[in-house]
Formats: sequence, structure tokens, C-alpha cells
Amino acid sequence: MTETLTTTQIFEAWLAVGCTLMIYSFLYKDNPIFKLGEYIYVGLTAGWGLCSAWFMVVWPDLVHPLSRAIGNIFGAKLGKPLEPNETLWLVIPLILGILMLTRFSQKIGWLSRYTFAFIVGSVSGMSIPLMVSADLFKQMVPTLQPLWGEGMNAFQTFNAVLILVGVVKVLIYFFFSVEHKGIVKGIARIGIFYMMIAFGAAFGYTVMARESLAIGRITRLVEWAKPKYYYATIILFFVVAILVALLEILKKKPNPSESGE
Amino acid sequence: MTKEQKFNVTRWIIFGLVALAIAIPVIIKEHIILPDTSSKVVKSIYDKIESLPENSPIIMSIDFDPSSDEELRPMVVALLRHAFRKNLRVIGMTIWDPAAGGTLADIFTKAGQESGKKEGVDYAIMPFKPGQSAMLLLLSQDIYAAYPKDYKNNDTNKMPVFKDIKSLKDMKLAMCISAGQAVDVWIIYGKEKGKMPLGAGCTAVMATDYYPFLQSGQLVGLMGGLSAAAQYETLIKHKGTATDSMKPQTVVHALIIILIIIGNILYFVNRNKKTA
Repeated sequence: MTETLTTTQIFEAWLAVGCTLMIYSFLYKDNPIFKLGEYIYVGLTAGWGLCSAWFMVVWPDLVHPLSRAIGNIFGAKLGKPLEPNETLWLVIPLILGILMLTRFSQKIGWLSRYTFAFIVGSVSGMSIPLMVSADLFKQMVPTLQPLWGEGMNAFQTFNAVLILVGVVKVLIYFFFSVEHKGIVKGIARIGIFYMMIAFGAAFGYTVMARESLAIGRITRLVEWAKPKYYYATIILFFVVAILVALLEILKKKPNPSESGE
Repeated sequence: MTKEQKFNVTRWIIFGLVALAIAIPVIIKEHIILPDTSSKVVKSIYDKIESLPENSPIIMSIDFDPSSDEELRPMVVALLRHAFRKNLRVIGMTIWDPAAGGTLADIFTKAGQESGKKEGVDYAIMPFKPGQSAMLLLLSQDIYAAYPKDYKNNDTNKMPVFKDIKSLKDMKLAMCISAGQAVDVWIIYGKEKGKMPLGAGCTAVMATDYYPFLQSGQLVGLMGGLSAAAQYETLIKHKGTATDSMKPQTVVHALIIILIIIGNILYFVNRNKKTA
């Protein structure tokens, strides 16, 4: 049975195909169609982010509860009793937030430092003990595991040696107080090999990630090329290609005033 | 032909080859059969979910926006299918950005409908809240202080899905699926304070960064990129978009390896010409 699509679904598909092809036109070269797609994306993201921040965070977590708390003081009819988060304490984050906006003024921009000081101080206090525990102490355990012992097979011993050697040699590579000469140079060189293997693995994964994104997009473009979407991909491909070519021709055409005619 | 023109033509040939290497397997995907595989790090997440008793609460942090949707959505969908099949209670949240809130709601609603699960009873969707680390610290103390309402403005403390849950400590598993640094935040704040088992899913770019956390036991398992999602689909015996995407992925990998070899050969040939 053929799936019937609504007008909205078809319109969404055409819009998505159009925007995708506008952005992909960059593969030919930087051009006005790509720029248009880029500006639409940036504007849309900024607008959507602003609206989301207002409706998901600022309104429900600050403006609405604070206005109810203030209304309660002045005896306004609230409909239902105040909830624990509807408190006048919210004035403090409100003031700190407003101080942050003073960055736009050269005259009173220094006021924002109070907010930054609060953020840096509180985040450092929260983070340092937990980071030391999670990123340092807990990471030391697998590095300093026994090289052999009861229940360990040869493969586990080999792994433990590999990790220990790797950690020590990479640390020596980054130890700049001693000149990398003689034995230190040799050890640091093995450290480089370890890092190159890590970078290679990371690069391989990166290629895979980028391929995944391209595959996802092309899969959709293939889907949207079907008759049920009125051949959106095929038609818009030619439209974008013709527009890019036309703009390229217009750009290359010499201006009569400049050529002195 | 100038050097720049030569370079541009080579670029376009490579782009064209990559596009074909993706498009052809996408069109003829039914005719390509790949072997079923699963790595130890992916299977450990599957085993963890499999070991949980029915009705256990788990929390999933969907920390990516539409720009990483193609890579990470199949992972979340596979995890949700497994969790719903096991009749687990799933709480969805995000600490990433407001756009992730929309992605979270879309994936959970569709997966819930597909599995016949009811919102508020079997799963819940929390709105985006800023302050990543502070948010996780609050969650580890009092989940209702962090999320008094769900994204539809319903009271969380009245929802059956939140029964017997006070904080992160009551979760039997936390999964962070992230396209950024959210996994680090979960390891440092969520895991350290909540003490619950933590699994991670991330884009392939970030996968190598998190392997050390597997060795230390801070992560129960790791899903890196689309290939991990395909492995999970194999484990739950419900093949979907990730498995299909691995077909063009394999062809493009082969193409890239060939291009790297050709590039190296040309490099050495040109070097020898110069030295000659």
C-alpha cells in the first residue's frame, strides 16, 4: 500500500532538500546560494535558541515564579498556593543575570565581573574535588594495576605492561624541564609512537563520524527523490545547479563601466 | 590547467566518488549483506539493561541537537526499544542545550508510540534546564527540585513513572548520549554523586576519549558512533537505520583506504621525480 503524505510533510521535505542542496553547493565553491543557506541556518538557529531559552528556562524558572512570589506579597489572587520554587530568592539570580548584560556598556561593564566572580567561585568549589576524584584518582587505578598475580593471564599482564609503559613514556615526552637528549630522547620517541597511534585511532573515528552524517543526509535525499515527494531532490538539484551557474556567469561578465565601454 | 584548477578538479572527483559510494549502496541496500558483529563495550550496555528487573527506573540524557541527529538518534532508538521491551521505566532529560529538548521529545514520543508505552507511566520527558554540573548535583540530591514539572508542565511527583524515585541514586542505570562534553559532566558530577552505573554513547569523533573510563569502571559500556548503534540493533534483533547505514559506510571506508593508498603512491612518485 502506498503511503499518503500530507501537504505539510511534502512541504517539509522540499524545504529540507532545498536547504541541504544550498549548503552542499559549497562543494563546488563558495557562492551566493551557499551564503543564503548559511544565513538562513544561522538566523533560524539563533531565533529558535532565543525562543527556547525564553519559554523553557527564563519564563518557567524565573519570570513566572518570581512574579507570583511578588504578587503574593501585594495580595494578588494567585489561584493556587505558592510552590517551593516560587520565592523572592529568585531576585538574586535575576540581578546577577542583569549584571551580566552590562558587558554591552563600556561605562558600567565592570559590574558583570561580580556575576563572573560568583560563577567562577561556585563552579570551582563544586568541581575541583569531584574532578580530582573522577579524572585523577580513579584514572590512576587502572594505570597502576599489578603486572602479574593470581588469576591474571599472560594477555592481561601484557596489557598492564603496555599501559604502564605508555603512560610513563608519554609523561616523559611532556616533561620539558629535562632536555630531550640521549636516553630521555629515546624514551620520549616511544611516547610519540603511542600518541601517533592514539591520533590515528581518533582520526579514523572522525572520518567515520563525518561519513555517518553524509550517509544520513544522502539517505534522506534519496528518499525525497521518490514520486511521493514529487521528485523534490531531482527538481531542486537542477534548480540550485542552474542558479549557481547563472550567478557564476553574471559574476564573470565584465562590467561595461569598468571596461571603459 | 593551473595548479589550482587541477586541485579543484581532483577535489570534485573525490566528492563525486564519495557521493556515489554512499548513494549506490543506499539504493541497493537490500542486496548488501554484512556480517552481524558486536563489540564487548557495546554488549556490556546490552547486558546491563538485560540484567535489570522489570519496572526498574533508568535515566537517559539526550545531549545532542539536530546537527548530530543522523549519528546518535539510531543509538537512542535502539536503547529505548530494548528498555521498553524489558518494561523498564525511562526518564528522558537533557543538559545540553534547548535544541536538544526538541530532539529528546521527538525521539521519546515516537519510540513510546511504537512500543505502545504511555507517557507519565512508562516514560517521562523532562524539559531542558541550564547549568549542566549544578543540574546533575541537584538531581543527585532531589529529582523533584531539579524537575518539578515535565516538558508538558505536569507535576512529576504525581507521575507513576517516578514512583519510589528520589534522586539519581535510585536509578538502576544512567545513559548519556552526547555529541559534546556532556559525558564528562556525567562522569564527574552524575557518577561521582549519584553512584549509579553509567553508560555512554557518543559521536565517533569522541569515542577514543572515553575508553580510559571503561578500564577504570566509571563507565559500564560505551557506544561510539553509528557502528555501535548498528551493533546494538543486532543485539536486540531489531535492525533499523543504523544497520542500513553501515552498508554505505563500509563502501566509503574501502574507497577512502584506496584513496589514501593512491595519495601515498603519488606522493612518493613525485618525491622521487624531484630528487632525480
